[in-house]
Amino acid sequence: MIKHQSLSVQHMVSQKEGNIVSDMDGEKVMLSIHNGKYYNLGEMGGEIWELLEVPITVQNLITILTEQYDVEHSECEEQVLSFLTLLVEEGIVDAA
Amino acid sequence: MKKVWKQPMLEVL
Repeated sequence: MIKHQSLSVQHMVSQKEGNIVSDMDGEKVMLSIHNGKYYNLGEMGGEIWELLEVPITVQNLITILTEQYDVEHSECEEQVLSFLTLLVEEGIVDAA
Repeated sequence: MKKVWKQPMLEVL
């Protein structure tokens, strides 16, 4: 479990239990029962969230996304790492 | 045909 450390592509990430998730107009919205906050992950964040249903390395996650989306690997890696870091800090994603 | 990429964002309410 990492906390307050930088996330890397070697880390394994997965959904944390205790979130109520719903789709609203194609965007993924979520209520964390741990901290009482509502989150909007948006369309792309929702896609990433679904890929975290089973534990996956960040590297594999980026590979899947770059195969499906028109994005450079470096750009995808930078943005996904930034996004996942926020999810880990908010306690809605586990990283190890 | 690949899908259009958008930067993933987290909105906290």
